Amino acid sequence: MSQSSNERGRTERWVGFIILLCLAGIAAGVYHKQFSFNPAVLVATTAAPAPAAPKTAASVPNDSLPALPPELSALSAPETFTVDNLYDKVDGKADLYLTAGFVGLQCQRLALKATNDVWMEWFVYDMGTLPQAFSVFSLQRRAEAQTLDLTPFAYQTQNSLYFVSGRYYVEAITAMPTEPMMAAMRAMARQFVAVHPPGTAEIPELKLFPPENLEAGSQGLQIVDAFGFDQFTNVFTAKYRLPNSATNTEVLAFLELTKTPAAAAALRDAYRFFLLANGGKEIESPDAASIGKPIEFMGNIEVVFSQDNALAGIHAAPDAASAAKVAQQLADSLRKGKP
Amino acid sequence: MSQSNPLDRRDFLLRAAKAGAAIVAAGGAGLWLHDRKGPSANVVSEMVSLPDFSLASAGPKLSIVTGADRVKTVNRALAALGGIERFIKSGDRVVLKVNAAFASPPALSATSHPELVAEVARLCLRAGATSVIVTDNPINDPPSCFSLTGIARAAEAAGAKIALPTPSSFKPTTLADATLIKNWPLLIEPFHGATKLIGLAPVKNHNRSGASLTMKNWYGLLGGRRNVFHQDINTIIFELARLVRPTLVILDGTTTMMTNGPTGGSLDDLKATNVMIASTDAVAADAFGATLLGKTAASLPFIGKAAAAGLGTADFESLNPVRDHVE
Repeated sequence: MSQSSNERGRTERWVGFIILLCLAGIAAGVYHKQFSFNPAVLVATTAAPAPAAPKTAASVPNDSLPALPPELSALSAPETFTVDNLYDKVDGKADLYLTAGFVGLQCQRLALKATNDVWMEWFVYDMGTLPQAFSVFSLQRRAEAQTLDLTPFAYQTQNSLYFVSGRYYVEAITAMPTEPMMAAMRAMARQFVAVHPPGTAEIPELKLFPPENLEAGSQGLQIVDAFGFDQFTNVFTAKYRLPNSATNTEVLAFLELTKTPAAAAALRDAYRFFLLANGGKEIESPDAASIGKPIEFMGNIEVVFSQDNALAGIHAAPDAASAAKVAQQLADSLRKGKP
Repeated sequence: MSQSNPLDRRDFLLRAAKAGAAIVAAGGAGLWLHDRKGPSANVVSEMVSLPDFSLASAGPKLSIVTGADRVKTVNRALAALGGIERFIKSGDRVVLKVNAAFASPPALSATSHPELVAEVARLCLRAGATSVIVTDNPINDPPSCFSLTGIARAAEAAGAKIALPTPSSFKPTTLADATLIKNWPLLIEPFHGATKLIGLAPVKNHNRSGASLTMKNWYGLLGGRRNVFHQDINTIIFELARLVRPTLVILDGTTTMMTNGPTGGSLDDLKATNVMIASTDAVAADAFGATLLGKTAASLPFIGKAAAAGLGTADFESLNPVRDHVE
């Protein structure tokens, strides 16, 4: 009897086990299927979504559009775009903003009251922080731009204004750059800065670049994937023009601050490895003895070194001597600046 | 408990039978509810594809005409290919796929120039086309884009009709052996009854793909959240080049957006390159267009992919392009 009970108990356990196994199999099937689901189906079932349906400014808690100067009137309602739909406004360029920390965009078309067919579009990108706003400003800076006395980072071209004020990156663009329109754009810019002042916040990294031979307005910030290296984050750059040089004299210096000297050294080694693994070759250069061997990479010269908690170097210089000269100046500046 | 009520054989068999019945019932229900086709969105019967609009008899041809006047250069470029009459016959229904992506004035060169659109529409109608439809699925809202770019007014003045996309204008399409274009909404409505397709694209720098030329122009036929394709931009351009086989492409390099594309904004982003290109080979047209941006075909992976797939040649000189100049 006892043996029979044991056998029955064993059989029940097996039946129970098989049922549980079946349930586990079904669960695994569902789990597997949800990974292979084609997201296009969601789109196909609803065909194309309606074109961009921008929110109204009233729905935005932080309204970044200033009051209009008297000479301008609204040609369209304000539009607001978020991380989810920025591509509805600037598809193709949305990634540039999104990878730099984009928070929101407000924009509006405005016309001169005197001549309603002369209009401009005003864009306010909320980038979250000053450095992030500076990043998108610097990456799009026009070479022949004229500095604008508005904020530390501001310029104008023949038909547009671009500036950073605090966390905001602002663009004002017209295709009809009449003097009244350009004056109205500048007036609106001043009004914006009055409402959203840049404050006293600074970007300390920019002061670490040595001033000698620095090209004015050439400083920039690449937040991701600078020079194709995915371990770089927040790489600041600055262009130098070396006088009295027989060759191309443009040299790009860069730096990234890390938390510790060890982290800077590790990043330095990782970037050197990246360059060498992709065809770079170390070359001898007496000029660069104190900052490590330069690397010839794709026909140009790369220098990379660390100083305290800064990773720094030279990117794509035309010759080793120019690269070494600016690298040495940068190393000296970092030593004095003690990042 | 088992000691006070020991399970006998009869109870066990009954319980086992009930458990078995439950398993069979659950399994049967699962089988009954199982969708063997998988999540097909119930759209298989509505799946569409674009016809091949290319003319085999025309062969691969390319013309490159320099000059600042778009009307003159496009006329000369088409004449160099044998004239518009070689491509457009009496009774044809023509679709002009323009770039109206942004609500941006023509002076900023982010979109197809209205003068060019109007002239090509006029030429098609003069050649005997019964209708010319101008269309695109813009990034910004369509009415503003077609209005502020000047395309709507110019095209309608030339006798063409504007086809603005609406949700019902799209049907899903799947490209055979494609990685990305699967069950994806395609702007199809303007193509109903169409017999010819001409692409009109400006030459622009592009933040993701490096260049926006004639093959990238087909991106405007996609609906849905197409921005996801920017993560694999070269593949989507290549697949679009496979999907869309136009009669002709016209690449407007009169003003080239050299930097900050595809939106631009500053006139400083633009350069007067004064070239108009017409071609039956979009790959060759794009390969030449790359040079206007200071690039090579080899530096733009989508051109290499298209050429490798036999969609055209990246060696545009091998087509012995007809070169000309108009004042």
